Amino acid sequence: MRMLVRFSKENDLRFISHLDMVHAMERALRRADIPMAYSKGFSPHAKISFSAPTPLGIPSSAEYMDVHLVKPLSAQIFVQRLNNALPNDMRVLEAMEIDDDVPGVLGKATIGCYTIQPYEGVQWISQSHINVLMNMNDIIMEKRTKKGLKEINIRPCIKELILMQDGQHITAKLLLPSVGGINPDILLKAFNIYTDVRIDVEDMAIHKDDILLEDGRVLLPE
Amino acid sequence: MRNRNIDKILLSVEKPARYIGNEYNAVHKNLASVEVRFAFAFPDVYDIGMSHLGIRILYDILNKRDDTFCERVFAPWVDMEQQMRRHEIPLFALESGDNIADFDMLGFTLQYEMSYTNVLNMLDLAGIPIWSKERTNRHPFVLAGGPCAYNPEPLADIIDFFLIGDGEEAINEIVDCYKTWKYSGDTDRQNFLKHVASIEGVYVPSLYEVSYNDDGTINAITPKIDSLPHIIRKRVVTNLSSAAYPERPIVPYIDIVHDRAVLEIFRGCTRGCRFCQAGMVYRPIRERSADRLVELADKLVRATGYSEMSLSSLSTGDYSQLEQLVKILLEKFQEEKVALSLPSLRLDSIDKSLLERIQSVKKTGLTFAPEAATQRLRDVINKGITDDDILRTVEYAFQQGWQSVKLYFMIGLPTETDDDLYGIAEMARRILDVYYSIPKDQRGRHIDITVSTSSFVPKPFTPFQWDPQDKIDRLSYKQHLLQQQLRMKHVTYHWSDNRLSFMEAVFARGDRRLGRVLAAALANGCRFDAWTDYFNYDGWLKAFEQCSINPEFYAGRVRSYDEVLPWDHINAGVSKDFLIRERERALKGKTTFDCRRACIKCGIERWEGVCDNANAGTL
Repeated sequence: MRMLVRFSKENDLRFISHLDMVHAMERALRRADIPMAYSKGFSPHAKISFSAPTPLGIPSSAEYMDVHLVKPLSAQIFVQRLNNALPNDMRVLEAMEIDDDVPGVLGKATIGCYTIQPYEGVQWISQSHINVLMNMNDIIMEKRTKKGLKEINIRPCIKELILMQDGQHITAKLLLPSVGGINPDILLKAFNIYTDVRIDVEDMAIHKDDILLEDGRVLLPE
Repeated sequence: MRNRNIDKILLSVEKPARYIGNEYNAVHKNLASVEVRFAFAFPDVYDIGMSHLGIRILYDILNKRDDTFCERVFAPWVDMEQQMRRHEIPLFALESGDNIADFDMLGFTLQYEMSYTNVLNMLDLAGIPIWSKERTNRHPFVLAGGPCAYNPEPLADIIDFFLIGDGEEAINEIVDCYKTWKYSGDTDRQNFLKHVASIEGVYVPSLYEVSYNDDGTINAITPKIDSLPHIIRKRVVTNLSSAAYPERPIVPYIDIVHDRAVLEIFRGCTRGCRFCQAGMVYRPIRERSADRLVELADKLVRATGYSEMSLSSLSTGDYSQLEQLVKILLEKFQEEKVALSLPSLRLDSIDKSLLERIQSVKKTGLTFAPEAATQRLRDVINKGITDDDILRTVEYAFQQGWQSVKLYFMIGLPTETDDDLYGIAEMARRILDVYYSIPKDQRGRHIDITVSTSSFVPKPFTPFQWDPQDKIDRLSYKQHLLQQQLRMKHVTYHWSDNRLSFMEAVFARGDRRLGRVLAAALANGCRFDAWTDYFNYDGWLKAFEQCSINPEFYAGRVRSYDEVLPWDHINAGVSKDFLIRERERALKGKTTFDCRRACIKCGIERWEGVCDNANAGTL
């Protein structure tokens, strides 16, 4: 059987890379004595897949993994044991038992949900700024790719952009970089270029809340 | 609490996780309930420092005390230092984020000479004066230990006090002594230093006077106070099985150099290689019992989740119950999928069927360190390995399908001639011949031989402590000769930077006049000198010039047996008589056997109850 797991990576752990997080999780699984399945061969590896990387510096409650187990284990016990073995800033949020023949769902996530707010007292985005961006047909921005800087139109990547009632938080739904989308820093830079607000990405607290399937459904149904 | 400014700069530096602490098993304490705050410093980057066992042992011992909170601090990498200086962020401890300058004690471990500028730089980043005499009660006491502390003199004006030898017991005595002083209401730092100097193994350099002869050599090193010992004897932990060992070691997030659980199986070495400082100063040999090791192995895997464990010592194959231990561990770890690594393992020392199941052998191929290529020179350095040992092992390995061999040599050893260098190429050739003598269908498809040479650095407390280091030109000539000789198919040659070895030789056997050079070098931009990319030779030469000190005086001079050496007031266990005897035997090409066969009277046998092999056996 397999376990589909959603977990968080908060606070200081936003500074560890995706690969480091993977290692930290593998070690926690071993400490928790989770009966993981291993690949055969010379140097066996645990059979786990993880969702696409969250950029360094962004805390997240939207990390997912799909773990193959050699012995059945209830989701409840899995969560309890793993949480006891994880660092404080990594927490299992939910887990679901799935059968071996159910296709994996991690690669099918296409949308990232973020909350963005300023740390303190800086000029901030208003509804009119949002309207400016959302009413544009093309938002041309430079995006760093492996081949260097590339100009792309990020407008289709922005699925939703809402200023919350407190006037402080913004929630954004963006196409994920793994499917040609963008990270939230590019969105914030677009405000600087196309509206009259001036914000410093370093002054923003960005949190990745979840990732969704193309049709907007969550990966782990209630 | 960590400064918010730090969080802001972390995204602009490489590997920010070096600076966040908070790893699994890191210790956190309620600051209101601790009396002594201790910062343990490793003067190199996190990735190197966290791979070091000593820091983990002392961190564990200090944090077991309710009254003490020990935190870690490493040298910030160049990019981080730049950011910290720009934003005026002082050096901070990993666990609490608090400024190092506010701690009670700051302890450095000195693992290699070329980390000294980092010691000074870390003090400077912390806002602590680099000269001990300029520190006041607003500053921590700065102490240092580790292998380089056996010649503490180059840092004598910088470090308040040194701990020579094993730290497991002494560190507690030092903290107790500090508490007594602190609560006595005494505010004179000098008084604490006088108290702490009475602990065995502790050396307070400011309480000793050095006088010099006209030729620049030392006349005498004498205590300024009558009650102080003339000779400081190193500390020795006699029973390793009952000594503290970290059972819940910190698990770093980033990939560090040695990213695995480490089991120290024994300390010391009985082989007596004459160039090897570790083999001399860590005497006598002390083993942890196999039972204790199996128990520890189990706890370590459970507490860390590591999938690799390495057995650590100076010469793994010499552990008396190695085969039994390896068998038990391999069996135990099979189900848990833990791979076992045995670095510094002599392949002839273990059963071949176990060999194939050992991770380090699988990963890195065969590694040999004959250090010298001819039997004559190996006899000089007392490296008890023969050509036959090597050739027989590679033959077996090639038959088993291994395709790569690494060979490590030293150049510039005393008595070395060009013939010894030609011998290095000859050995590579003979290994190739062994490979080709095996039928094609019974050997691997490729062969790859890597030869590496390092340049010999004479170290204190070795039989070669009186010998000069080869001049840079001479070493470069030898490397050039080897480059030509090793121009063979399937052979790669690596050599080391002779300028770096030269600086290492200066500070290894330097005296306290070199402290000024360190400060000048730092001012000239030198730091992270052990990293080839950052080694700034011009900065060093300029520093020597600014201080009117000739580095050749320390590295390239023949010293006589009756010269007072800068470390003569330190007793590392091995006696000067023994070292002279060994040097004389070396020059005659006479070997000395492993002292487990019979006591070779190295000096430590005179210390009651310290060495199990003391005075045992007959010649």
